[in-house]
Amino acid sequence: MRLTEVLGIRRIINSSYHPYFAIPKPSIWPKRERLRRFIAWQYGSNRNTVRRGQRQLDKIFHYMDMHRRDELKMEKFYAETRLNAALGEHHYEYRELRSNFEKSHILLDTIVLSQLAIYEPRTFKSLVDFSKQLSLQQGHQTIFDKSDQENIELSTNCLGLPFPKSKYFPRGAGKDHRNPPRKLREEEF
Amino acid sequence: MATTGRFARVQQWLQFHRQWHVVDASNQDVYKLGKKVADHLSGRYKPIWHPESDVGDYCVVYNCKDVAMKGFDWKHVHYHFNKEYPRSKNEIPAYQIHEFDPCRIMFMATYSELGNNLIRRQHILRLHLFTDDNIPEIIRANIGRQMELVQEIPKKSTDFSEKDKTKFPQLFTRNENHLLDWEVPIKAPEYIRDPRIKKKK
Repeated sequence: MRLTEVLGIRRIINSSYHPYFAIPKPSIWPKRERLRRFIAWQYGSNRNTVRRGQRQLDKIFHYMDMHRRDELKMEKFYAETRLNAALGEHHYEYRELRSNFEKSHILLDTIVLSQLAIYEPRTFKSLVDFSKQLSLQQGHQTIFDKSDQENIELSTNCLGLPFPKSKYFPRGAGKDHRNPPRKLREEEF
Repeated sequence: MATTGRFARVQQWLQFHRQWHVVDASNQDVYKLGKKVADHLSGRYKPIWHPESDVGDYCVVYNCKDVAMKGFDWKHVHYHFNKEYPRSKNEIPAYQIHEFDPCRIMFMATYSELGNNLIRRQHILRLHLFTDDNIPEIIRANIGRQMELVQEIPKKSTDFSEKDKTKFPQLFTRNENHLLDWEVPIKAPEYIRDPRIKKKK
């Protein structure tokens, strides 16, 4: 470092940085704010510290990915549980309902049926009563209310062959390799 | 459900309030009844169920001392306890636990059927178990609904009235002095001292 004789300005010899026209460094603040958007919901050092927060962010992304992959299965599971609960109120079983709907070509999914059960209970009840009438027609043992069944009239032959499905298991329905078999109930063995 | 009008808030309250259910446990299978009670405690019997939101109800179970098990399960079903300390392993058959505390078996059946989750502890606090039909007034005042039974109660031959018994056609002719199995007088066996055992004086 030398002090020049006339102006007395400080000069660093062979410096790669210009003394008056410095290139501004980008601020790190926006990046940290984007990080805080995700780690705000964590506790302790994972929330207050940047280094811990960055490691926690990797985990958060992994959890979000797991949640995204499970979302469809969870939706179907909740729909199944809620539908079974709604059918329990009417003393009916899902397998009866599903078989009658397939034979009578009623294309209603479990998700749609569970939403009907929550938001349109009377529609759901009439659908269940229709299915019960078909069960009675086929001679299955059903618990039903006489006054409710009087509202159901089957003028045409509703039962037919079910529509062909898009997927079939080549080795048969019992060889579904995607899910493990469920525990048998006492009545089944 | 009506979304507008004066009845709308009443309907919403009816939809989402916590109900008190009561059930008589006598002659009911513990594990089946436990599953049903657990479904009511967790709210799984409702179409609006969600695991993270607490939509469960209160349940009151009485006559727990008369609860039933299938076959010889009272003898064969063992409950394992282990506190991971020395000498804390225990394997106790169900009938011994039932003798000690009549409500314990019902509690354990319900607790295991609630599932292994964080909200189980909240749900089990809403269960009230009573040994007999002596329910306190504070709890009895809250009860709003009776739960359906899980099993049919079988009728014993002694439960038939004399009128029904005489109506039934006679299939066998018996002596006047004939005694039915449960009418035979029970003789206590005599105690015979074993001569090999000698009392020390």
